[in-house]
Amino acid sequence: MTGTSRILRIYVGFVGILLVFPLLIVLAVSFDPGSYIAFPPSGFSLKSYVEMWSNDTITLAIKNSLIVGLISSLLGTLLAVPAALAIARGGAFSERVLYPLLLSPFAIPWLVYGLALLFFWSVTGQPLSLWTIILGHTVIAIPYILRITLAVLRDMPPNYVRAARVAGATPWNAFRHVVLPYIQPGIIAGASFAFIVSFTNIPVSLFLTTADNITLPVAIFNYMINNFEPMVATVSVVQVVMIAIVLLSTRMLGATRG
Amino acid sequence: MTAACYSARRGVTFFLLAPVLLIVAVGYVLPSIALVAMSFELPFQWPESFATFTARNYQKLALDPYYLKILAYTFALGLVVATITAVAAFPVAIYLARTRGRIASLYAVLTFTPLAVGMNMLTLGWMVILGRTGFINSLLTGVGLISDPLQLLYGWGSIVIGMAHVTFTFMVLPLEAVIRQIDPALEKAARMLGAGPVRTFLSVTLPLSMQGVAAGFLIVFLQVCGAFVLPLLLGGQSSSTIPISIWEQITVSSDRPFASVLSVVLMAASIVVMMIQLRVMRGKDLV
Repeated sequence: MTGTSRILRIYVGFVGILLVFPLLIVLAVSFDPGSYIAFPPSGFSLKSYVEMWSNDTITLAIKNSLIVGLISSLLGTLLAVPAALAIARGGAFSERVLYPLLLSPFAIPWLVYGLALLFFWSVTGQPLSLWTIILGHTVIAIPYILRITLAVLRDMPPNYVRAARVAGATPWNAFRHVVLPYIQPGIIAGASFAFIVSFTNIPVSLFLTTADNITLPVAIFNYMINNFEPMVATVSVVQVVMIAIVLLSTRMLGATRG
Repeated sequence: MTAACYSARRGVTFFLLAPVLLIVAVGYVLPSIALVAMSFELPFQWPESFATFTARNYQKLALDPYYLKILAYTFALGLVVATITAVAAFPVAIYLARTRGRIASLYAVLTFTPLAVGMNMLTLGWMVILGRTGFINSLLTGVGLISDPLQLLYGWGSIVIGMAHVTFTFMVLPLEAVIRQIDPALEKAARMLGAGPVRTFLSVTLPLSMQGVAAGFLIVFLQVCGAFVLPLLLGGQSSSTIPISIWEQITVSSDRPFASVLSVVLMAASIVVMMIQLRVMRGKDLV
């Protein structure tokens, strides 16, 4: 028994190393002062960490991605949480039509959805802007938030609401003081995941970006295709640091409120 | 039955659903219709548009062995990666489901990293590991095992490795969820009745986890078939998948109708897989 579990532990440790190793490699390369990516790095310097902030495309892309990520995850939450409440009530329509429909943006390849949006905007004659990207990211945020919220809702003992109602609470108050506090951690988790999905998304945005509304991951993608320099690694590391900051701050928000 | 039965009024349901349905109709259903219309070369000016209706792009796909091969390769890639991740993730899921404590919860965070860091980060990492002047080649030449760098990057092998990494979380989560539900007493009973660890796994643990295996397999298959950035950058010239072809049709050949045909085929396949998946899970939320 102990023999098996030792083998299991060794294997699990090995997989863990494999999971983070590529990230550590990128971190190492991001400090390379040279002009193209190689391993081992030609040296250690903060050169590209300083230079990236004077790159207009990168700073604009960071700003755009923060705007798109925050607005789309907020909008996605405002749309998906009510939908989860409605679907949790059950019924054939919810089960057979609504749930699959709202979940399908998760299943449909993002590049295909991005292309569909491109055609849609060119049919409507709408010029591409940050809002065209925000709409797309809001739609792909819905399945994540819906799923988590619905899982928490289904987990909640029905007696909680019954008790509140028997004690005289109005439906709204029962929701406000019983359901909402219960599902809040789920909502926060879903919303922060939606932010990550938006902040790292390349395929949905790719066909919709212009010089003005370019997002950070698309800018990085363009660099990866055209000039393979250490700054690509640097900007990717900064992107991950920003995601970590957002995750930690939402976690603290959830901890203090919940 | 459900927690949200605090009001039976229909009007409330309407207000809960109206916003999301509006956004999904405008931002999702209409664009999908535009995509299908483009695949039939309908320029969307009713009623004249129906005069230009043509299925020739579908014909082109059905008759061109080059694109049929790409379809087959894409789905085969999905099957291979899903199989590899299922095998690789199973022990990890057992560990996560059966172990408690600080190390296990830290490890759980670790298994989430592929979803949290972004595709560019993971792709770049594998490019630097596998590249001509990358980690493995530098290590091997440094040790003196090889004199010329090996061609590790660009090809199906590097796509499989990279996609297995990217989709690992999607496999671990459902597996962990089903293994958690298995009563450890069943495995103990099998062991006491004389079954070895392998036999116990094959005739108790694995059959009871099949729902999780199926759920993870289908999600990973979907993710791999629809993946674009990593296969494009790690695959190089010779290995093309449907999403890569779609991108090439748009950026290189400017053939929007044919890009739409490829997209519609991939979308249809994805919806079918998703419907199977919902049926497999039967209302359970494993992910």
